[in-house]
Amino acid sequence: MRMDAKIEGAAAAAAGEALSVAGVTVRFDGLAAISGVTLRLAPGEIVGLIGPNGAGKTTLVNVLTGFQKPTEGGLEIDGRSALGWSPAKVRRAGVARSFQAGRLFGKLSVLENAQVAAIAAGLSLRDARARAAEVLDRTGLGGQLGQIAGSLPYTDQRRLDIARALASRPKYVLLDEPAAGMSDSECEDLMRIIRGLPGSFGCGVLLIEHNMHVVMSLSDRLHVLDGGRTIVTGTPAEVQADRAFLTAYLGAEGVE
Amino acid sequence: MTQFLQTCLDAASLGSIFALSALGIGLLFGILRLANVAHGEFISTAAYSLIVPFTSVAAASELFIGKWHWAAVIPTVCAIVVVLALATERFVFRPLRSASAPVLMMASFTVSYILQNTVLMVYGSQARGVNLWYGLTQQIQWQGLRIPLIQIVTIAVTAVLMVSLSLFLKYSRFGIEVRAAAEDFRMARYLGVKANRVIGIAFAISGVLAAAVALLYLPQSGTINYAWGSPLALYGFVAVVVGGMGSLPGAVLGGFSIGIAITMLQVYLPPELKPFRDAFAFGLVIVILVVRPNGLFPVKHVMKRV
Repeated sequence: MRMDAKIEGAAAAAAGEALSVAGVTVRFDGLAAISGVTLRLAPGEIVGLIGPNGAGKTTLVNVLTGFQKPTEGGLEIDGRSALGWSPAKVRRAGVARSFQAGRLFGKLSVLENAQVAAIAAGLSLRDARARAAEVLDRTGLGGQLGQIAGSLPYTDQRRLDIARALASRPKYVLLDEPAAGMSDSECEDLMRIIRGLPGSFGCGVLLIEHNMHVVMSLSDRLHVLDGGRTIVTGTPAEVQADRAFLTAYLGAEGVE
Repeated sequence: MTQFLQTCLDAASLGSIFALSALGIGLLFGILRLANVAHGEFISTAAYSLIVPFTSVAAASELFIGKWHWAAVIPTVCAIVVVLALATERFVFRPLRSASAPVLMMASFTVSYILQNTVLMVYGSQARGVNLWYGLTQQIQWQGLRIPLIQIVTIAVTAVLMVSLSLFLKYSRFGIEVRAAAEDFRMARYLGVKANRVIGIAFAISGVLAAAVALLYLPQSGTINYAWGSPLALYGFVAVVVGGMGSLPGAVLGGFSIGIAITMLQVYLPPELKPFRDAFAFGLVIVILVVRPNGLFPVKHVMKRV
């Protein structure tokens, strides 16, 4: 880590601002969960990460957020190598995530859940409160600030999880299946929120999502994983026309 | 009726002591899953700091810090215990932060024994009489009740401490961090909450509460020995479990429940059974735990869907 400072200047100039992994492989007991994956997320864009179950999406998100150290390959945040950083350090560098299981502070209020993230990011009590109120307003929870998080309906808990991720003003937000378990109308609502994130907060969004309608209509670019490998990348239109994508999603018969 | 009111006052006063002890223990348990057995020695240390060290036994030990004006005694004793609590955190529990709960508990046992033996070395093994704040042991007569001043002071100080602690936890920046850490320590750390700071604050508060227990209980008990704090911590532990592990309001209510139970048993048990009062009290605890294994006031867990 001592080398970071030296590399920093030159690399930042070359790479520009982005969260990126290059040639990342993660092996568990010799078995590769992902192999040779390269992905880049810039502020202001929405990138969809899709793939069948077991394709390695969550492993990749864990690498991007510092929860999983890759066996091979590099992780960079704005041109600085973040390899070996703790998740908390990666978060301080501007990479926030939501969680599939939510993991809210169930006994704290809605406001406090977002506020504690802002406080922990270094804001004063009052500034943190204002910041929390703002992100909660954007995520449609502005009317429930005092409610205890544990008593929220499930879909609101997902939105609060997103708000908490936004409360530290991250440059990059990774949303892990935010629409899981939501009805169609709840999905529309969530899509409106996610679509607004780059404009409102200037952040890049990596969207991991099973719901094709959601991911196709929101993403600027798509990154498709299957069996731990990248099988296709491109705009939603390009990907939908791709044979490898169709094979992965519909099976071999579907293409014939 | 007068007799009953008198008993209620005794119960509230004893319950206050147990509730304060339970709060100090429950706070650390909530955040670290640490059952801090050494809390009893925090209480003993506060009491012993009042008398002159390395003196031979006298019927009433010579006061040292205890001789000062109360406005100096209180902050000094609090400071001593806070320093002791922070030192145990820094040198014992911080290096063991990723250890399992049984290891933490063993560590707190060793801290407890080391502190107890230190008291033995410095002050000897015999009980010492301590005349702290003699004025507080006076009784005031009111409507046929004889009310020891110290009971009123105990109840009032406990109320003030509890209100301050809950305001601190509810509204301060650190309070929000402490509550988040108590609920999901790893998530709080991930979000950037400084673990050392939050845990340090919790230990410091726990130390202040231990000092409060010692200063409020000492005028009532009059004598101390090297194990003086242990039963107070034990009742605190029981209160935490009876109240529902991990809930501070539960710990307080558990403390008062035990205070009430013990006082009532003391008054209403037949005279020949009174020496075995605590056996009945703990029997009651077993019954409560069998009927309500999660305590009287269990923590509601967040329901998970999917």
